[in-house]
Amino acid sequence: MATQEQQIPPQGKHEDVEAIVDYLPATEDFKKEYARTTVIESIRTYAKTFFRVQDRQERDTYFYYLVFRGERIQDTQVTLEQLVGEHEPRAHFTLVEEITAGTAA
Amino acid sequence: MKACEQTRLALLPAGRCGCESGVFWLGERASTSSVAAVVKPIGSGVVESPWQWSVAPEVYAAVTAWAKPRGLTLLAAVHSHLSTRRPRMSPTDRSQGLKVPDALAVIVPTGGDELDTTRWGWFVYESDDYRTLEEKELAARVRLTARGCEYEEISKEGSR
Repeated sequence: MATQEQQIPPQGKHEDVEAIVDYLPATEDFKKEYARTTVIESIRTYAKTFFRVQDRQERDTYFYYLVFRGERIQDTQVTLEQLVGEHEPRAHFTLVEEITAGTAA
Repeated sequence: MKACEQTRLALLPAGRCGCESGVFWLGERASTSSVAAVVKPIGSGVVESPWQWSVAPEVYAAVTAWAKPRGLTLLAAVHSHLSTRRPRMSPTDRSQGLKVPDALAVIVPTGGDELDTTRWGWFVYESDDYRTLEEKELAARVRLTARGCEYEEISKEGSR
């Protein structure tokens, strides 16, 4: 009996990922399409610029990090693909401010 | 219940124990914003002590996860001081407060036990610093009288 091979259409691999970043005090989300090879640090940098915030050290130290699926992204050198896989069309992040109190001189 | 009443009720338990406490006011930012929800951060990562109220980033993240799908934005961080005097922003309040243009910082004296909102401290962040918000300006910026304000307690694990 002849075997009928079924042509399974390839799973649509979205080349780009829509990154969405929200920030509690902001009225608008940051949204941008990124290649899957983009490292998360790049998204963090653009998001900070969009929300007009920056990592800085004054009396205290201010650092902004991204949260994905409820977890802080520790290594921002990972790529979007490493984070969301090959098929996910979008990634939703939250930008969070971390303040580390300075020590008195 | 109105936002200020919800806020006082949320701050009072810590105030009666001699500790500062705080809540976030959330709503849609507009020329005159209405406070749609009073959110009290609770649990691990929230410090309520005699001289400090602070919220860990993980709790902020949980508040964001609750607020954003509802279309809500952080309008103000409200916290209590134990002193009965007219509130002033401490160096820590200035340093660790919300540094977003037009964001409000509100301080309730007497550990939250102050009914008269004109005796609360009202500050707005503008041009890289906080300044006192005058009474007329306050009415133009925030509508505090709307009833049906939601109250939510949120820990880093999410809302209760």
